[in-house]
Amino acid sequence: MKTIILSLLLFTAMASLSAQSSDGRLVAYPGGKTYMYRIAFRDKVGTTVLLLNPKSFSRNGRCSDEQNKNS
Amino acid sequence: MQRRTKQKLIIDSTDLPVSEVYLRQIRKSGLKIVALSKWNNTALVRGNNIVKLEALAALPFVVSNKQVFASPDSIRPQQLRVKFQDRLMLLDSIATDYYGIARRQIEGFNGRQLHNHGFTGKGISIAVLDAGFMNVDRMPTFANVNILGTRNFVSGTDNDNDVFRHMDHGTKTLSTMAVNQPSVFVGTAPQAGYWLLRCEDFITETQAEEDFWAAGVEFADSVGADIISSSLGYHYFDDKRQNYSYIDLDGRTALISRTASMLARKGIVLVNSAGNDGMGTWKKISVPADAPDILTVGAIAPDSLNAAFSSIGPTTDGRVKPDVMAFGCPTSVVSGRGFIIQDTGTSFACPLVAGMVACLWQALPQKTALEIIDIVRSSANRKEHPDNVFGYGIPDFWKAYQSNRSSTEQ
Repeated sequence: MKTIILSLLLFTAMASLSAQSSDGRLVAYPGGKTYMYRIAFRDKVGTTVLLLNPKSFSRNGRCSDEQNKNS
Repeated sequence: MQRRTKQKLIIDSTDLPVSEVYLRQIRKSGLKIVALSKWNNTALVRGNNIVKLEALAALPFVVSNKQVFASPDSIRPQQLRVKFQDRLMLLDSIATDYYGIARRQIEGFNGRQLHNHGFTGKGISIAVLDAGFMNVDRMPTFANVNILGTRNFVSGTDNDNDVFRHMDHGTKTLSTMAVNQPSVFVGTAPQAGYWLLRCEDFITETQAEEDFWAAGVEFADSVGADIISSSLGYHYFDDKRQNYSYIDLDGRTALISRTASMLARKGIVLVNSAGNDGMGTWKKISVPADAPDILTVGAIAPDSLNAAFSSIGPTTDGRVKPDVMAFGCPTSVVSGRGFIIQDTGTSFACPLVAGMVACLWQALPQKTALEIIDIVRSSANRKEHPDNVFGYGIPDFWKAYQSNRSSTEQ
């Protein structure tokens, strides 16, 4: 009986340790070490949009993967 | 364009897109452009190779090159997962009043009168900038809300465009304006249209989020939004070197504040939360709450006294902040699981005001964004003696309408 109790206690302690280990586990940031830089441009040279035709402005502030690939 | 024409606002060089010639050169080096701001003429460039990113500074067309994000080396797995609520609760009738549990929130502004006259936000569009709108697409509570569209501007650990599987902070802020469930919960602008834009990354706190925010508001401008409700603010970051100081609170230093400062002149009313730092060591408003020509909203308790956590002003250049106050301690909101709960923060005071501004603008359609901001401040109960705790006080939207109605009707 003593052995069973001791085994149970040991099992509980192990399970507890295992849970702590699982909660405290760290994983690498997805995609690896990543940086973002804010680039400010000198001017807007070469823009194809004229102030006279503002309707042709881009509606999308976020660049799509497609745009990144195509350039 | 219609909004600009109506308010007789000019299109200027800030509205021109960022040079594609320059962007092409950056992309050639294998780096990814994740956000653009034509108003600030900036791009947010993402990559793993820091040498390549630093080298951009040498390009002849680059004026400045600033690191605004460095991912942590490691994170806890649970940080990556949103506590997504899969089981939804159904609302039950809990009050006899038309506005249900949200009654005090609208009556505090004398807004009921505006609604009774048919000004419920119809024809006005509000862009809600937030961290996520959990389950708004699934909850019956939001089924009759006029959602105009969604967009995710965050370039983080995930790049999905689904704004509904992220935090429920935006669900709560949206609910205070948009929910239209008579006798249970009616928000301050139940018939407005809503753009749901995600621009806050909850995993990290970096200045890159300012770029996401700028991309979000420029998108809101491009789709014709009249009002932006932003319950977001920044002053400290994971990298302490990026932290702002009081001296930076001038509306011109932070990119997010510079962008916010431009909105009224582009015909948009920005309503932004003041921040919840009143009880901490910082005390003051954050950015972009420091911007001029916006409505910065602090929080009051039901006794109309300021909530202890509500951030205070003034700005570095001496402008009164916050601008106005609203219920934020607590505010009744709908959570991502569908519960009506009481939550506290200037985050929830802010959309209450944004919703009422929509109703007021519907009632006074000839007014410009700058005029609407001035009218709201002038209607508030401390306008004669504004201070840096209450600002101009609690707005009275019925009075705001009444005081300006005749000039519109003439």
